[in-house]
Amino acid sequence: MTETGLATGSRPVQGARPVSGAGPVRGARRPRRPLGVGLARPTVLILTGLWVAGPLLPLAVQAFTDQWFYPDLWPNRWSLAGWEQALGPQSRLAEAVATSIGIGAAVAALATALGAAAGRALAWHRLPGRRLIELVLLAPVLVPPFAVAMGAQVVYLRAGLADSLTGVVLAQLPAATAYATLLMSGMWAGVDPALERQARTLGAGAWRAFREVSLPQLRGGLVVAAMFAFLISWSDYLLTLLIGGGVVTTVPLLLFATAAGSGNQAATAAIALVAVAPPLLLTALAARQLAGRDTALLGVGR
Amino acid sequence: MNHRRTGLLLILPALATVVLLFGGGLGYGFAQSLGLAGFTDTPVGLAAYQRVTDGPAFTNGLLLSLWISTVATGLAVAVGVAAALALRRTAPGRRAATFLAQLGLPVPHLIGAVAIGLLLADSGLLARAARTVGVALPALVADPHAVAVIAEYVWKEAPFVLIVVLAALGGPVAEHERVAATLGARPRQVLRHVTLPLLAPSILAVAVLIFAFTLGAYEVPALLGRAYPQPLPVLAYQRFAAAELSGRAEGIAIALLIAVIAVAAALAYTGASRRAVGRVTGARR
Repeated sequence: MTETGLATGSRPVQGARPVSGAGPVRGARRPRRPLGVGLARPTVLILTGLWVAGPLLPLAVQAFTDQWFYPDLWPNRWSLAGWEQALGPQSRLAEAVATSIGIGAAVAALATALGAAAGRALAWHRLPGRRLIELVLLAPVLVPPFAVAMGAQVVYLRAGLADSLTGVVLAQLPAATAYATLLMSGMWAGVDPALERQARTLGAGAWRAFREVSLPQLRGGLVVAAMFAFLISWSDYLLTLLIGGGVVTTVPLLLFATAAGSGNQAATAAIALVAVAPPLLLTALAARQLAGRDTALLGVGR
Repeated sequence: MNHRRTGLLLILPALATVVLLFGGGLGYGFAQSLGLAGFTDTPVGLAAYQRVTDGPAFTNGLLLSLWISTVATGLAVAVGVAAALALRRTAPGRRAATFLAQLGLPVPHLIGAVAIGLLLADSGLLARAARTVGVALPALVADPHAVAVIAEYVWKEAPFVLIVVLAALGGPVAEHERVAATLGARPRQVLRHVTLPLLAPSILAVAVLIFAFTLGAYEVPALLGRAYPQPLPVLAYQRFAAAELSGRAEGIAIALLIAVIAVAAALAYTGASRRAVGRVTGARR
């Protein structure tokens, strides 16, 4: 597997592993224990879990207390004040969640549709200038997106799209589309083109052959692509700020403002918990779909 | 059916989206940074770039950015690779670790920054814990070395490295290792001369992605960094959002300079990965 990460998703061969890659032969004894196994495996596993969850756990404590004085290791009073402030009429959290979900759903739908079509082309078709196309699709992965948003802001202003939901969706779309395309090309590579050809031979139209032959096999992949696109949108802060102009208030904008400006740690933690729940839930639900599609995750959370 | 044309038709919408909305913004931004377009009072030419790079704010910001990205990338790779090598032995371990790591990946960096802030701030959990054992910690948030910023990046990106390296270890690596061991290589030699070189392309690719991302990320240093010096993305946004009109061109100029560094790192990777692979396989790939 050369060039894992940067190019895997765009390679049609991704689904097919060589026979030699099937892993070590069961029961075959290793002559020597390779290095790097100093710690017992359960210990490393527990450490992995602690690593991931550890920093998030204090959020769950902080959100339910309004008195946690230094240097106490544990709050001396529990309270829902943080939630009352986060959910209260002043904070507009419910509105921000609705805005985030709306923008995320639009980005997910558009990016998945575009990515599914482009992924099929990358996996199944001979394309002129394939390397250039792949390079263009990788650009949003490497170039910081705010460089683009800063340049485009004037255009959005002139087109009347600044400070609007549509503008924010359009600003977030290219990165989500690029990731969805890379992911879907891997999914398409796992579908046999011969099956659709057979359906066509038997008289099905192009659309029907796709819908009844390939689509059922792609369903899991489409769900994952839509989920990723949604999460890319859900985590975005700077594009929304630049193009939405602070008028379009999503959850990250509210979180940043509360974290940087209010000094209210309980409310900050409460909003952070609301913001972190969808990514955790969606990933846990899609865990089965995700197995083996490691590198495709690279786009999420950034 | 024209096979090639169907392919182009299928890929065109996605490609157009990226080229128009992404490339267009980039190109128009470049024109603005040169004083050629947009709301600007910048004279045509490199004036914005000169104004931006002139003075210590840019130099210090660049150095800070490079420091943050280099250290964060190095640490994330070290932690991720070490964990992957320790976890690779059995399938259940790998699956469980991959699941745990995957769970952490989609957590937005902004939330990571808030969480790390609660953990490492002057009155954070770590400082409290250190005090109970009688240790006084130096400032970790908004400190000169950007410890909290780096910690957030390492926390977020190490699981990503773990996932990619575990996937790469599933390939033919184990066989090559067995051959080397059978031929009498010691574990340390296997690791140095077989395992790591075989993993090098994956590791390098991940490293480039992390480096490029951290170089252009705004939220984390904006929340956990100091007011001066500011890493380049924060500097870029501050200039862009400044009251004076010339700030827009300057902000875009800084953002484009970041992009140039990130792309240069990626190009260096392309060369390095070929060489790294060639060393092991006799450049057959």
